[in-house]
Amino acid sequence: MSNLVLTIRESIRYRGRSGHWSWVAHRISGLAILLFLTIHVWDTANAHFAPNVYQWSVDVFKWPPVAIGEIPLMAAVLYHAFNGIRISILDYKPELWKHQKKSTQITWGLFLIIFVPIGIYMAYEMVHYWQELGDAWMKFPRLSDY
Amino acid sequence: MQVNLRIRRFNPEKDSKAYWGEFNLNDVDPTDTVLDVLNRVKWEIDGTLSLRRSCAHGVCGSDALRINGSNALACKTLVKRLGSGDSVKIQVEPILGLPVIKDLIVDMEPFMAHYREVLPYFINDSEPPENGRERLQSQEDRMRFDDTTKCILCACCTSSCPSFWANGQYVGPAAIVQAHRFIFDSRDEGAEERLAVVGDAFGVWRCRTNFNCTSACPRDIEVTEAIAQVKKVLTTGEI
Repeated sequence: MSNLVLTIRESIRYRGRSGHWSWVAHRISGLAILLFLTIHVWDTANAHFAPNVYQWSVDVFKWPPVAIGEIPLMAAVLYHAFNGIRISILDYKPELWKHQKKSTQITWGLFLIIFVPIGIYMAYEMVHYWQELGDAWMKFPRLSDY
Repeated sequence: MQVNLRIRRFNPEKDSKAYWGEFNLNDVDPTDTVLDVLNRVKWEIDGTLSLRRSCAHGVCGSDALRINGSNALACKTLVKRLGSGDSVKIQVEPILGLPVIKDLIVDMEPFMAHYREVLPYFINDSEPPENGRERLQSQEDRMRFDDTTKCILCACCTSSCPSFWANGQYVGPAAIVQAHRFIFDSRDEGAEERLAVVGDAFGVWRCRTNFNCTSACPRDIEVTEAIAQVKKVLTTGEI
């Protein structure tokens, strides 16, 4: 446990360069995706074992404080994918290490170019959906209603 | 110039946990090294400060420290590189992932144990050339491992690696560099044994390609490239 605390604390304190911060972002985005997948496997399994719980969880995903989390989730998936490709290329072509700083910049650039319009579109659609719900937009769905 | 020096202190006989010691030094020359500054503290202010150093010229590799957040040799880091103006702040800590013995001195044994694991010596049981001379090697073959012969075992790379902080069983970049030096040597016949060590669960696959080791190396060894080359040998089977 102490190693875990040390690793988390020092990963933030260590003054690494672009590769270090890409690694930190890769880990955070990976953990975010893992958390989502764990929840996702659970709620999808409910479609078979407890359909009412499945329907409830789908509505919970539409509840604003949870729904808004889909935007950083999309960011995590996109960054993790692009950076994963970058790391794989550097592992298979070791001689390209000289371009690693530029490769991190390209990765962040690609991520921003693709994520920003998607993020704006997701936010727009969410706000539109909540407007249609009227006063009930922040009402948390109760499991007992399903 | 003036230097405000923060040093991570820990005396196992007195302290339950580490703390920051602060020292202000005047008349520091910008071309002084961090080791010069630490020596001034030890010799003029507080003789109890403990640090490891020997040659003071970047050859022995004994004064690897974490300086202003990242690993470097104290004897190769000039004060002027850490800040400009009349006053410079310098923060010095022991390197990470190894047990602190006192102040800036860490126990290097876990690091050396990993070094020994990769059999860092020439292995060739075949008969030497009939003329009794050395085993010949082309310049091209020699250049394949030229970079990794430069390692001075300072531990700057291994102790900058988050995978090593997380799990000390990881052999670490320095041991892989040593393995690389012999695996890619055309005269050596011990590649199979070394690849078995660096190819296991605590070998090269713990590398996350974050380049801290390459940035920290005081000998400018392309450490991450060397690790990737070993990974490639393990996946393709071709040296």
